[in-house]
Amino acid sequence: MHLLPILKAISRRKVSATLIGLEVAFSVVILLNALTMSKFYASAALPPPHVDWTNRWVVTVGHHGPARLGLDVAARANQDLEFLRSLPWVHHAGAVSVVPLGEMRSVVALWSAERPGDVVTARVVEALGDFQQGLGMQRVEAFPGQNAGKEQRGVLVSRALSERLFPGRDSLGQHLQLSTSAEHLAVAGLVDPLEQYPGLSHVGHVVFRAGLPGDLTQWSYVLHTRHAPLGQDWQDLQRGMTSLYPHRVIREEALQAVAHTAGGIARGMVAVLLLVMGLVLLVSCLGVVSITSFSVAERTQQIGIRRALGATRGDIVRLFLTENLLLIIPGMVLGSLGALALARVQSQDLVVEPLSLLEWVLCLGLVSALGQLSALVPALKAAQVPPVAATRSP
Amino acid sequence: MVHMLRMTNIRKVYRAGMLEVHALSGLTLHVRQGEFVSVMGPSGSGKTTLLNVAGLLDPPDSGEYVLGGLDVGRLSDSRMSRIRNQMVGFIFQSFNLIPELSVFDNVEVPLRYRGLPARERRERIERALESVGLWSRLHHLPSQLSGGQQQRVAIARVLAGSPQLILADEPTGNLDSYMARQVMDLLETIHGGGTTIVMVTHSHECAARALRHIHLLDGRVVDLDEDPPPRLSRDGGR
Amino acid sequence: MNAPHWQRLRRFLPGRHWPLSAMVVAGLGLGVSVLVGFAAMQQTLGGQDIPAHADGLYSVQLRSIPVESDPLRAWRLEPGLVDVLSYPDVTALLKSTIPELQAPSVAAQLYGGLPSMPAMPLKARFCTQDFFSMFGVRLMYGGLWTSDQEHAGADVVIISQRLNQDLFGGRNSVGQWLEIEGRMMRVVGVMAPFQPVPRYYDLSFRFFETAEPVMVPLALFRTLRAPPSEIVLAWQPHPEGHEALLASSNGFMQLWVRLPSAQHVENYRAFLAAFRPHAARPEWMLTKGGNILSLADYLASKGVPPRESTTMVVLSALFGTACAINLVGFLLARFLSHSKEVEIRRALGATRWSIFFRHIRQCLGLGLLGGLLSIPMAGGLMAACNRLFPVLSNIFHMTAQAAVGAVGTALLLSILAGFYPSLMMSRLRPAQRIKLQ
Repeated sequence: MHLLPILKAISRRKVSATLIGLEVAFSVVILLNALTMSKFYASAALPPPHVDWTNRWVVTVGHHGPARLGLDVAARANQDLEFLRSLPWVHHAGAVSVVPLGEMRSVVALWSAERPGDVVTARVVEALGDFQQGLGMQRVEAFPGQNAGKEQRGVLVSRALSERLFPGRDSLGQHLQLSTSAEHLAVAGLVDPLEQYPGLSHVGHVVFRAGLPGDLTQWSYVLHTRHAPLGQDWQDLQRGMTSLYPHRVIREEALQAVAHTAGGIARGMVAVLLLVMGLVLLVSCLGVVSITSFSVAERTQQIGIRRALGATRGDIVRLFLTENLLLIIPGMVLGSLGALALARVQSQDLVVEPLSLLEWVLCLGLVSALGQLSALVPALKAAQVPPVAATRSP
Repeated sequence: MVHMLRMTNIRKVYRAGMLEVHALSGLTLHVRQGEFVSVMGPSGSGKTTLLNVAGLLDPPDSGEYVLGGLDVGRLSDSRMSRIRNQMVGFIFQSFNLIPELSVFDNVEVPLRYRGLPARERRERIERALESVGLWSRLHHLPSQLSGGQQQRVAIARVLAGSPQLILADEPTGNLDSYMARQVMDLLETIHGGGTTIVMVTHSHECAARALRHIHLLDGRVVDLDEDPPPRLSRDGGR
Repeated sequence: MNAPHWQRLRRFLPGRHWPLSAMVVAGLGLGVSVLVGFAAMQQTLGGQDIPAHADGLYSVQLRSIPVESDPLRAWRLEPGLVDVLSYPDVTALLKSTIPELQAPSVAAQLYGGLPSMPAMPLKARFCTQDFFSMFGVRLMYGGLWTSDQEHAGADVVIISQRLNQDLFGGRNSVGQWLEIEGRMMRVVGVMAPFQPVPRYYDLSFRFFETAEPVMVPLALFRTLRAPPSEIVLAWQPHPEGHEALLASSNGFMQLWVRLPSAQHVENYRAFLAAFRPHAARPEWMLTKGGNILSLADYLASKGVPPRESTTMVVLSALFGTACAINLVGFLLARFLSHSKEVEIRRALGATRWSIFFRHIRQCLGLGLLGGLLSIPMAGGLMAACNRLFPVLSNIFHMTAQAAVGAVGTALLLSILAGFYPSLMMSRLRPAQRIKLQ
């Protein structure tokens, strides 16, 4: 390709070259940055992995009235679980103090027994019964027994927490202490729990502990059903549970719906970022089209001369496309550097996984392709300039 | 091949809004290979249109045109571009150099479209610029050259491609008499090498250098010298 | 002869090349709308709507954990300071006479409603009289409970305008009865709409939720044994029973004070520095003292405005810059496309200044159009964000301030971008060609 003379010519058209270059640079900074953030939020917007969502339901009960002050939580929960398991369409049933999705209000400090000063915050979920099946957690190793009501000294921790507290070691049997418990608790198993991407909420770790606390007034039953419950099924459930204890409000929801709500902000952010990315691409393409169109209009006579000297229509198109590419490339380089700088500044506040090299290349490739496509429109118009334009005065 | 250029009954009409201009109305012109023809006529007589059609810059509306033995009436745009590139050289009144390219790059443009290798291109350019005496200005921009120098670069651009036919539109129109004489000398030298030249001009002095004279009036040829006077010998005096 | 005024307006309007001008206006409008839109949303999320009487308000925070052990220290303004306080600590702090007003409060999830109807969930806030004046809560019917009622923990409630609408059809419901947690409680007042964004009086958990529909005297917290619904910082083994909770060092309450002068602030700071929190926690967690945070600092410590919004503002600033650069290119193209006319004018005697101002005027005209166009665009952006973030319950809307800001920004951008092109045009020599070199 006629690279050298084109390069020399561009270097003499400093203004338009600078404009296109800067514009591409800023667009690339925005795109790369927005893409990085989108990745970050997308992982938080997606439902957590390792969870089987089918036929998983959450029934939340809120107890009220003066009678609640004397509520025996354990007895109440066990009776409810017995009833729930008696329903023909319920396969497994468990109880949790709170479904561990999204933001959780109760934060507890914990530390390993051997290093009490190294405090980690976590969210504690008190649980009873077949809560693993109810929550659709698929990978559990060595879980504690399911005897409800019995004082359990074991906890389930997430893998991430295990790695944090006992790095590089097998944590089974190791002891840790929660600030809400006077005694040491042993790690009885590892789970892949329903954690959100840790960066989104401050606290990413979850601890499962057997036995519901005595002063709860609201908790949730997690059900694994044999099939999707019909309206009649829910009515039976409501009737049965209300007859067991009248002063309660019962609300049912699919587990997937709970996850969906929890990912709301993250999903919104992904959408907003995609919108901004789309706008940036639109504006850049329009900019390329207009600046190139003007370049074509300005050089009509020159195009005619080239045609008179023997250039085909294809040669003219190639000329403008090559010029465009040579103008875009420095912009992309500058933009990439700018994006790196911006990421460095941002990383002081938020730890975000940077883009992989492949993603980087794909993004720049997309920008170049769109840039070339935008320049194609005026380039094709340029090719239509007849050779006789060489003789017309500018 | 006897005739370089055989135009028969060429018509060309321009439309500007409601206005119709018959630039060429049934023009017939045969130019033999190796001739040096001057074309004169009042403004609006179609001189420039004649050159445009002759050089395949603008297709005629009707009529037959055989260039270098080839019927160019039904050629594709790419074929015509190739023929322009290889067979025809243009010299314009306003030089028409590409302003953002250096002298070297300007002369190189048609050679690149021909797809010649870099070494051959360089040789041709150097030879051409030397023959017009501008080799020292290789890297200058057109804006840094005088009018006469720019025209000589344009001629070098033509020479580098060794075309068989040169079409010149008022080549001395923007030059003072001294430079005009230099350019005409160059043209004569080129003609001496066997190239066919068709030159449109207002100046009788320049026209006198040609060996055949044509007048155009209202888009048609008048005063056609069917039998041109015998050619002077190559190194005949002037 | 004076041209008719509409013809003089033509000086400001685009011209022959209207597709290019349309692109200029659209591009400018887009850039400004994104810039102003996200800036306005940032302001909303950052609590710019918080009313003026918030001056002099301070959040009381105690140093509840040693700095090194504070796992959230990266996010806190002052590591170790915590804004959720325990009941014994609040009781002790309330004994101070330095503040002009004090507002302890805690939220809880209760159930209740009209006496005849099935119970529904009701979020309640347990607070004192001072809360209302400190946070500018006005009443549209009735009045606050009396001091006697407050001390005695009488069964009185003040309900929100929304709840009043739902339960009583919006009429004056003072004197009516509600059954809450099995107790009959009398309505003594109905609040006018109170919806601060964010709910700055309690940012312990949810920032943008609606204010609690039920307000009850603080003393009822103990009587009702209400379970605190917001965050509970548990520093010691989870106590069984409400009384145990009230005696423990677990934090679940907020305390705000009003300190009218700098002297008051200094005195209270000294008081806090010497304060010893309730000491039932592991030995290595014992700390002393506390601090007050002004409202602005409190918001900052809670991450208000949220990081997401700041990210978008940064991106939109970059976007605005890209649009401005685009604008320079557009303007150059547009101006140079009729440079012949300018050359002729110059040949006819126009001065450089007149050419320059002529073009600046055109830029302003385009800027005005772009700014006006950006207003509905920004509105559209806000509507989209309302849709995308339902949890924020439609807090974004176009305000007069934002609209003026949009037009102003567009005009400014158009002048900045148009400066170089206008200068270039003024430098054209009479009847000379200039290329986009």
